[in-house]
Amino acid sequence: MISLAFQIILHQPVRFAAALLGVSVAAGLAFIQLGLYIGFKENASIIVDHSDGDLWVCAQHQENFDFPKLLAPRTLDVVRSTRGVKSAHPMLIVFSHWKLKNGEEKTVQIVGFDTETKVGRPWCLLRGFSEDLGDPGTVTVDTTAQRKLDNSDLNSMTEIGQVQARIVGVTDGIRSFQGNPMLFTGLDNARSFGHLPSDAIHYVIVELEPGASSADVLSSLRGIDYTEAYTSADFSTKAQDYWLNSTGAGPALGMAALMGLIVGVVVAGQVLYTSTLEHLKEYGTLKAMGASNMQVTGVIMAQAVAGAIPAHIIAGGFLWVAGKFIGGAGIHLSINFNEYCAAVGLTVLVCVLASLLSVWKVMSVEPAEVFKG
Amino acid sequence: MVKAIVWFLVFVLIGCGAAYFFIWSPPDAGELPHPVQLKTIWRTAHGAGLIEGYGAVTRLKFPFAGIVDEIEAKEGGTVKLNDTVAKLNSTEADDHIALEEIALKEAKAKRDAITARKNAELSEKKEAELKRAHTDTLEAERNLSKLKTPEKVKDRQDRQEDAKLALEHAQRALALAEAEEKQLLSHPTPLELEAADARLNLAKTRNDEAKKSGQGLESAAAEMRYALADYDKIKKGASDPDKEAAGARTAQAKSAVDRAEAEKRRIERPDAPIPVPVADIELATKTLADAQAREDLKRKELESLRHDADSAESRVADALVERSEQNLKSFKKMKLGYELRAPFEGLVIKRLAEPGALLAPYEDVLWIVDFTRKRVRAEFDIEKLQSLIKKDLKASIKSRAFGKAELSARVVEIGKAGTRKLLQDDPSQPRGGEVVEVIMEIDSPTDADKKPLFEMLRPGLRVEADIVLESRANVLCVPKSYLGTDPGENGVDKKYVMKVNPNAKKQAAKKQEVNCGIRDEYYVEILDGLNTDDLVVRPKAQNK
Repeated sequence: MISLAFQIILHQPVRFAAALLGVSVAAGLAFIQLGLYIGFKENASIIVDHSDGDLWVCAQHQENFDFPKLLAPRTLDVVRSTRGVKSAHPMLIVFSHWKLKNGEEKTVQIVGFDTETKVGRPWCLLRGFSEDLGDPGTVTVDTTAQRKLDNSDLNSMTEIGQVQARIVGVTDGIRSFQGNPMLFTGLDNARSFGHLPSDAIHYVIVELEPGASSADVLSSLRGIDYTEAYTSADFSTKAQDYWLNSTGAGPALGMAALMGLIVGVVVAGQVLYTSTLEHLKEYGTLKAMGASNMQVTGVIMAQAVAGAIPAHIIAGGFLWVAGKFIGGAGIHLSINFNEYCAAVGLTVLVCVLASLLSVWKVMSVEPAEVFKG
Repeated sequence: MVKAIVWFLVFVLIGCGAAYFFIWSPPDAGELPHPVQLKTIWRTAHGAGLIEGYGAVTRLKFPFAGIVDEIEAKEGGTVKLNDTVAKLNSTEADDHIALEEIALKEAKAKRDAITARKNAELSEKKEAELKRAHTDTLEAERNLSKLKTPEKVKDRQDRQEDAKLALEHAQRALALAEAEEKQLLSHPTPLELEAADARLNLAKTRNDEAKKSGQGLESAAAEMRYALADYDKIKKGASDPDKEAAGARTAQAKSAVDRAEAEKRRIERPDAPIPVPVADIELATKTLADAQAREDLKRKELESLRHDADSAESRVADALVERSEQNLKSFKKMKLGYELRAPFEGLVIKRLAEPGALLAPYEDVLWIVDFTRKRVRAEFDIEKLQSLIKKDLKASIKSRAFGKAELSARVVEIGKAGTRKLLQDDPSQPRGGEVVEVIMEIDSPTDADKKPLFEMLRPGLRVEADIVLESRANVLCVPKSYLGTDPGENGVDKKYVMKVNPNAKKQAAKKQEVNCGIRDEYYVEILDGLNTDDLVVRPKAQNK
């Protein structure tokens, strides 16, 4: 039956190629949207997910991780003195303007971390030393943003927020959700670039004592005036929720992915159904010759699956091309090879779903109709 | 069939591309590999600061208000010690000096005049006092001599003659007093009454005529009242008090005649001489001694006056002269204030006034700084202070004004720690953090190319300073950009390089973990993991 399925496919290769292209585009579109969705989700909480810490303390009524409120200066000391807290590390998130050589300014997001404890340091430092970020006016630049920032590299000089800055490190693939280049530097430098007071902090990252109860410490930390405290996982989810749900970006991307899949189903279904209709007599003959419905269904399913595999590969190509183009622009298509391989089932499912109408049509064919002339 | 195979191959190729993207793309070995080399590497501390002279900036200013006449010094120029750098219009001061010179002359003349006059007046006075004292002395001598010597005959005759004359004089006075009394008692005489009656009649006649004519009524009435009163007075005669006074004068004159007669009789019959009491002689002797002492004193005073002209008035005159001299001196000194002079050899860093400008007192005119030694005051991160920055460490000084050239310097002083202060007016300077202030002295370059740079230095020029904390010669180094980082545990990152095997057919780079030593701005010392002439390429971004 499988050879029969291949014979049918090869009998009309152009039609098959068109069907394949349609399914590929639909699958590729779905993968890109899915990758974007996951990428956005990851980017929304990228700092939280990559910072070593068990708990996060932020200002009260803060919705968005990227636009934090200042904590009271004494909060850090209060957190440090809380029972069960092993260490507490301040962090700053500030936005400033990177001065380009042509005089334009580019908004950048700056993460200020404690260079002594290194909690919150860039987790993917391609070049340079994170220790150097404590020196006055030093920052990192990300490979995804170098092109936007005058191809800045190690030892490049610029001005950020009118303050002289020197690149001492290059990070690799660290992007912000909004697409602004993300820079890392020491706390004092971040305050300097963001024109903040010398004791300004936005977050306190808490490391728990071994054996300390996260819930108990959280409860204690929530007792500090004008602050909120979360576990890292909750804080990550909170950061993602804001961008993906509160802003509608998540549903939009999900809907786009779903639409891609539906388009795939429709295109593949239409091609398979047309092909099935053209070969309806042959299927009737098969049934007249004693083939069971299952065997005929198998032929159609085999055609669908045979189309799904190359369509998945082609969709991977689309994903690669999109990754190359979009990734260079700073957007993150977060789908790795394993996820891509796992997604073959989705492609097959799309094709199988598309073939169901054809299967229903074939199963409804009476063998006697073949001889009616 | 063929078409199907072609299509299939196309799909496979696209699929392989996707796989390449997702699995891993090896480092681009097309980049020219960099050989690992032995180099000298410097570990430095970077700071920013300003050029300054030796010591603080000195602000030259006039102590007075006025109009600037001339300013010799120019910004960026040098001045030598005591050079006149600016002048204020001194017409007013000159006038003051001229007036004071005149006042001095006047005061001196006055003093001379007073001295001369005083000497003359005082001498005269003292001479008179001396004469009086001398007379007193002579009188005292005579008295004493009289007391000691018995009365002589001639003296007694003289005294008798005197008494006789006094008696005659008293008798004449008595006769006069009696005559006057008699005359007084004889009034009024008939002639006087007749004359008074005639004057009264005349006055009445005139009064009647005035009444008839109607002219001069009042004067005629007054004349008549006067004539009437005069008549009454004459008719009444001398008054009782006048008569009593005349009687008293006559009695006094009689008494005087009696005393004179008694004296005459006493002298004509002299008593036996009475011995002079010893007490009187002692008193006269003492009086003589006092008179002689007074005379000596006056003589000495006169002599002293002749030698000493320092009387009160003279002292006032002297004081006036002194004040005038002092004023003149002061004005001359003040005039010096109209000229600004360089207090040391230095560099003019600012000129704040131009000729013709009107200045307020103590308004800045020039800023100069001792620029015989050129220094840099720079701020370094406080972390570098911990036993790293020390005196005499070498440093390199860079500036945008130098281009790529550098000047050498050495640390001469490690100052106080604190917040950033030096470049706060520069918005491009980092803020926050704690810094330590370090002062470095720039070495005068021996290299001819660098001498112009050294001369070009000006106070306030912003420079970057790198203090060499540590250096190692001939160590394996790779450029910083060839060193990749993998996140390690506990905040310790792992460093790696992409090492190229030159013998392999395909120059694929392989990750090689390395241990790093010190680093400078561009290079990192490799402690192990690489050998000389190993080839490395830059780690490629995965961008995932």
